[in-house]
Amino acid sequence: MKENLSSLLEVRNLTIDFHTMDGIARAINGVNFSLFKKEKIGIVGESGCGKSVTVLGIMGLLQKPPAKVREGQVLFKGRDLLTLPEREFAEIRGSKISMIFQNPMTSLNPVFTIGNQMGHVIRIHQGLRKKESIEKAIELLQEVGIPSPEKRIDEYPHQLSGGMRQRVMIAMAISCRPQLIIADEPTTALDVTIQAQIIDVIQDIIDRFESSLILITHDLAVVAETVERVLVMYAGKIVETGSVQELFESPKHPYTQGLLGWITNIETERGKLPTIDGMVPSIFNLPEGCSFSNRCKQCIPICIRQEPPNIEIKPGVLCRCWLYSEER
Amino acid sequence: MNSTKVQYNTRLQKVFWIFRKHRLGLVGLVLTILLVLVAIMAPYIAPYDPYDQDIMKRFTPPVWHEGGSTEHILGTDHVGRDLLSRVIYGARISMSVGIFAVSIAASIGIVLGLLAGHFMGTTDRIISYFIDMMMAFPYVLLAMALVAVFGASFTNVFIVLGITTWPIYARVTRTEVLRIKEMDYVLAARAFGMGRIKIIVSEIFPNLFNSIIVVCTVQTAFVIISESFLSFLGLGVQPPIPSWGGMLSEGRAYMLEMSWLATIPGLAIFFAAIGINLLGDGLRDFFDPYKRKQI
Amino acid sequence: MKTYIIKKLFIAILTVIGVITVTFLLLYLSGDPVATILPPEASAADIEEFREKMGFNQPIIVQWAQFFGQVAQFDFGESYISKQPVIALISDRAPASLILTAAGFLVSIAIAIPLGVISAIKRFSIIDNIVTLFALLGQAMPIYWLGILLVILFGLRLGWLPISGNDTPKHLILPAITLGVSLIPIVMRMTRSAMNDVLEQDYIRTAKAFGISKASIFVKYGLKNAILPVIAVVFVQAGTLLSGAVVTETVFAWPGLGRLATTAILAGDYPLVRALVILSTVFVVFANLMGDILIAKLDARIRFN
Repeated sequence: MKENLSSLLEVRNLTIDFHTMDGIARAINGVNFSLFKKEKIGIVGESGCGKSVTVLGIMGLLQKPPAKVREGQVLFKGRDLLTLPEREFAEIRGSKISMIFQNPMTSLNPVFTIGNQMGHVIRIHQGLRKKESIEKAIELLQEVGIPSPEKRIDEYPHQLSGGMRQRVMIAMAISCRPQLIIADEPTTALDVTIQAQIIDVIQDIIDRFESSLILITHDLAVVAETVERVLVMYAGKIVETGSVQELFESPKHPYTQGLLGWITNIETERGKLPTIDGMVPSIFNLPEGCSFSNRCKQCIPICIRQEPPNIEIKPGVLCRCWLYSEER
Repeated sequence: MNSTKVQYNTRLQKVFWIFRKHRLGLVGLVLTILLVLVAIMAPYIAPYDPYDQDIMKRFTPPVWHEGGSTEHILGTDHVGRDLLSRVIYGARISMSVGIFAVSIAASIGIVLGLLAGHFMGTTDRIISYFIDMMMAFPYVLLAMALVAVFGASFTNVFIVLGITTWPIYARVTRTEVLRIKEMDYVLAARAFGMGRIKIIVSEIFPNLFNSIIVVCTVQTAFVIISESFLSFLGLGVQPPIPSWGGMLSEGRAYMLEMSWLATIPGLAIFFAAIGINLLGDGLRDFFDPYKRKQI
Repeated sequence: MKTYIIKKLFIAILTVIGVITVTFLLLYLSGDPVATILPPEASAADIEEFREKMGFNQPIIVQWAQFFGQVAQFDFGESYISKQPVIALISDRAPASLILTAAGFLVSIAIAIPLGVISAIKRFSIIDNIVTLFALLGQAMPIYWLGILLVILFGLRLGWLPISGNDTPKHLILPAITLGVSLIPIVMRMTRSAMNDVLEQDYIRTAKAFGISKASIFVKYGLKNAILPVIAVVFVQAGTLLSGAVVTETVFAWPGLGRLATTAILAGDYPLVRALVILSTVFVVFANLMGDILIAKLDARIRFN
């Protein structure tokens, strides 16, 4: 735990609803966490657990409507981003906080060249002139390991491979030396052979630029080698927080245990992803007690009746489970 | 902070949406029914015979104009015929052209579309070629040229409008048949040994019906406008038969002083077209399962 | 891509051949072409002489081949009425049509694209509803009636603008608006849906994530991506534009090809009618071809194949 360092980002009780024709879905529910300078954290969980909504909410990128921030604060260096006027928020996006998206195929604009897109971002945040911004873009492409960047700069996204496009995204993300980089499943859409390279590039730039990182992924191996601290999300809530070591050595929450393959059948073939029996509850209709209770092998009566509190098991290790509570 | 099922708190929005969508369709339905009723009931509701001339009363302005009287609510034309009666009888012309032309076009189009979609291969290629070719003709020019060759008359107008507008039905039918054929239930019907004709009749027709009815509706409006333009040019329904386009053409000569002679028949065409178009739009939304769910 | 274009080109050429054939057959639809062309009071001798002169006594397949050969050389024969070469009449009138079509096109683009963009940005708002309703009304509006209404209001009542002919640039205003309005609904609906598609794309989110302002996203990123599909659709709609031009020219006595066509049809001037139908269809076929190729090119770029 780095309590001596000041926190860069603090998310307090963030709750986001989606208003749809079928009713209101609570996508994330009272998310709390903080991130310190130069810290690297990971958010893991199955798809639909609210990982992406959390970071898109932090960035103010959710489509409103249907999304609606019900309550909560996102304090970036003490300022609440959610109450910031759109113009000031826009100045922070891409300069102080930047984001790398999941699908580099569709996340770059097909009708502009690489240089055009990067140049535009560089110009609006740094007030450079056109020529300087292109030079800067070439430099950045070099930094992320793109060969002959002066040629690539005039190409369109569709002329690049998936891995190259993701490198362009990363180059764009670091163009203003952001203090925080959010990477939303940056390798999921890529070939397995390229995934490791992209993770290396991200790690390299984070270390060199001394930024903080929020990495979203469902790939536990990537988490283990990249980040220092992990948040485990389930059905819109953070169910466990702890250092990577702690989490992998002694997972506390039954869900995390399941995720890590702790309590899987012995017959599970090696190499196969561990699976947890049962269905994730519908976010339109969450159960009254613990959201995981219907799939939990260690479920006790109170789990169904009442939502478990967030319990600090030891400094820095939080778990939302009745099994660790004395009140049960 | 427990979040069980939260009630839809923007229900108002939802209601507004349904209302907006259905309200326009409803307006269309009412206008269309009105049009049909006027066409059917023309002899009973028209105050005068549409052909009766009263040369002494020519150019009587409508009732809201200076010099107008309740005797002729919409005034009279250049030979003193009652404009209201002519507009009412005009609905008959427009509706019959609409119904006949659409029936001809739909019959040709559906048959060719079914053939193309069902047999595929060479049959499909030949029919598709004809569809593409017909669609390449600038529609107005072709219709005008055909009417000129056949001779301008009431019957020829709907025949020409029928044989020039079939490609759209053929295209829609073909696409639908190809789509429906891939559906699981049709595959299942085939797996159960249902014959080709039986499949067309029992599985494909009912599904085709929705798309075709929408096309028919929208095309009715299109055909009515086309007929009025042909009649306006003198290539359509011939005077003294009271067609809206013909009346507009006659009225145009006097539009400097008697502008109502040109505006009133035009309004009739416009309201008929808008009513039928809105109905078609409403039906489209209604039949579209995706949209229906949204509503 | 290349094979796609060649295939499309091949189909286009086949279509043109078909169109020429259909146009050729047009005259035979009513039975005897000579009887159709000549006035009913023509004597038997006159009819025979005309038949001989025009080659109508030869087998139909020979006539077709001859006609085809002539068309291939842009020889459309002489007008029955003015006795001038058809091609000369057409090239005489073409500039006026071109000016009107271009002006109408500009009017529709200038009104429809901003409206479509606004209604996409403010989706489901009151503005969007009003604009959509406006498009619905526009679709039901007979263009020629709109032309007449404009003439009554601006030409006769207010006396601001001339109502027919093409002597001054002022003469262009009403016809251009009339033709423009006829295209607005389709261009507007296309712009709206293309913009909606674009605004939902990941790269728009990327642009937002990098702090690019809303105005910049809508205009620079959104419109640039949305405009090409709209243009492609306009190409595919070339036939609609042409039909609109015929109607507009007739109402405003605009001395272009559309009015030439109307007068030729009313006078039974078949060589002229045939030439106009063939040339306008060729124009539509190739405009559609361009639209198809444009769409295919766009797809290639967007799909990153």
